Amino acid sequence: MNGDRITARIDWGHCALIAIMAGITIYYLHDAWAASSQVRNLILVLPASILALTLCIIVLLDVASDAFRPPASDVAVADDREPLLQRLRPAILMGTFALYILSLPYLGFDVSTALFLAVSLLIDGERRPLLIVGVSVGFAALVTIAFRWLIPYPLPILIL
Amino acid sequence: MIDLVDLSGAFALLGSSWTPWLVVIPGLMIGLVFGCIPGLQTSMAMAVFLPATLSMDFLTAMLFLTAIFTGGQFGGGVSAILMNIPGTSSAVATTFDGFPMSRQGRHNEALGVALIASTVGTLTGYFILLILIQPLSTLVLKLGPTEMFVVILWGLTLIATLKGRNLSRSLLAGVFGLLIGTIGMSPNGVMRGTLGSPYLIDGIAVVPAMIGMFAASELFSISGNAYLVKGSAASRRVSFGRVVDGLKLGLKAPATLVRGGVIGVLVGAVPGVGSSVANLVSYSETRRRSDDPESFGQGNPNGVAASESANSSSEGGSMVSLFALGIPGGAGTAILLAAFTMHNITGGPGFLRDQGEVAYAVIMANIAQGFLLFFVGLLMIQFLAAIVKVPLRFLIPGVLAMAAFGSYGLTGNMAGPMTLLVFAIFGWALRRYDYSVPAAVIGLLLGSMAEGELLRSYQISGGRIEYVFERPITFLLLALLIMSLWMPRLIQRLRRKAAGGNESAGSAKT
Repeated sequence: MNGDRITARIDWGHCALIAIMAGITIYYLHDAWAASSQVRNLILVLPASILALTLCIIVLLDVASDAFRPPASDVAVADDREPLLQRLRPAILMGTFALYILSLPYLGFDVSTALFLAVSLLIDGERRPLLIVGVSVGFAALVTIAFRWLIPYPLPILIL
Repeated sequence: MIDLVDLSGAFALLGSSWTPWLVVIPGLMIGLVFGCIPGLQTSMAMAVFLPATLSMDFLTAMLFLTAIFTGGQFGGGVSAILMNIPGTSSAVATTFDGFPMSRQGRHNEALGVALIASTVGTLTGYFILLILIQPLSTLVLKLGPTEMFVVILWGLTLIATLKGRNLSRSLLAGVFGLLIGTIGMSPNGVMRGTLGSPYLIDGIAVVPAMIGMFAASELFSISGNAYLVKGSAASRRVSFGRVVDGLKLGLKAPATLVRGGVIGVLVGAVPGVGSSVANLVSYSETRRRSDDPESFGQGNPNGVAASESANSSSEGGSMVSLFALGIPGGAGTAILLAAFTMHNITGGPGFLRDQGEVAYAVIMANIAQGFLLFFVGLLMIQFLAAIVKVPLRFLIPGVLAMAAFGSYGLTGNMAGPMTLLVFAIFGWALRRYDYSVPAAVIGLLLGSMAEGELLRSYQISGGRIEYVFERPITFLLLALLIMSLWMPRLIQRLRRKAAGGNESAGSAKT
């Protein structure tokens, strides 16, 4: 029972972040070593990797010790009271942004940007259709035209 | 002290064309807007608009970016005064007296004091830089690769120790940034960590990664926070005449303004410390020297003047390490260093030696920007007071979209927007778990430079570790590096002193 509570208190998201950083460090060290094991090649990568992995372990121990510490009841209550949508807001925005970036080669910067803005405004509670269409289309058109003029490369676009 | 040949070259550069000057006012306006909106940072504006400098020459690009920097320092004070929310971390001490002044109906005067203090601060910072840059460049040229490597590590340690709750987390962010900053072709010509992708041969696209970590990740974090002005703050009207009264009020305390300016330069020159600490040091010092320290925290205009002059002059201070060593001391200067790279210019000792007239031109232009800030700020105060009320739901997707456009513009292919996305999510995760984002970014930016300097040290020394003991400056820098691990405690004490003083003053009055 107590073990379950501790497991529940472990910040698994934080553990995942540490695991990703440690994983990338190990992969990079392995790849650098395989490319050349000379001192000249590993002079920074090897000590920095060892330091990064040591710090990963220290931070992981810190996360584990946080789980064993008695929870601050007032903080937990405050978190529970926060609406679910509010807590998920960053994740929703990140998901929308990821879809926007991935759609750029297919829908072009003009259409993707207008759609991204419209969807973001809708998610954020904006319900006035004229305002949503006006802001998203107007902004997308303005920025697309400005960047087409500014940057020296052809910009993927669908309509403009 | 001033190299007159380079200085006259700088005047020639600045006077030969109107083009560099055309970007200054738009830059100041962008900085003011981003600085005054809580949640949007000055460094965010610099990162988002960095790709726009691709089509500019180096001097114009520097003028544009430093104008955003200058504008942002004052912009941060506007929301601190009107809403008690510092628009930037450098305006924390401005809230101590700025907001109480607002509650007393003296917000116009507070805005006027903040504007004159920012102007004087900017001018002080760059005047001191103008005088110091030549002796500094002579000194810095004596540093070898070993010293440069230790300076990089020292700067990174300082930055890591000042941000984030946990030292080990922030050090991890810095070391991890340093490590991934070396991905791609090594200085020795070996390809590493590219996953077979041709896009990674030159390493990670630093600027899109920087935009992702500084700007996009912050926008994810604040999404859902409306930051709308509530209650009486919304109805606060700006009166031009009373702002002018505030300017006069600020000018009545020249010692506070100049002291804040000098403190800002000195504190701002230390990597990682910068304007977010300079305003607190200046505020504490002004209160300590005051005949009526109890009035601080109750709406004393000197408190606003001390804070704003220090945060504005710290910009000049932060340029010291950028110009002299090629090492950014914080988010804003990290973006300036990225602009150096984009224009194929290497920062550090070589920059001052070979491009002295450009360095002087940037300094002189910033002195002019200080004066322009006064007029642009005065004209825009009314607009800024209104813009703090714009809901973030319109701003967040707009800024994110502009970041995507800019990232594409930097790389010319989808590698830019993809890097932006990956590092935006990574930066958000770092923020969420209280790691230092600036440490990660600066590590990424300096990774290959650090490896190059270390490799050169190895080649010069022939691999002998005793070589370090033969170099007293390296030894001194290593001692400073170890000492800097105690820095968080010092800053914490300072913050407690600045905030505690106000609380005790407040409780004494009530």
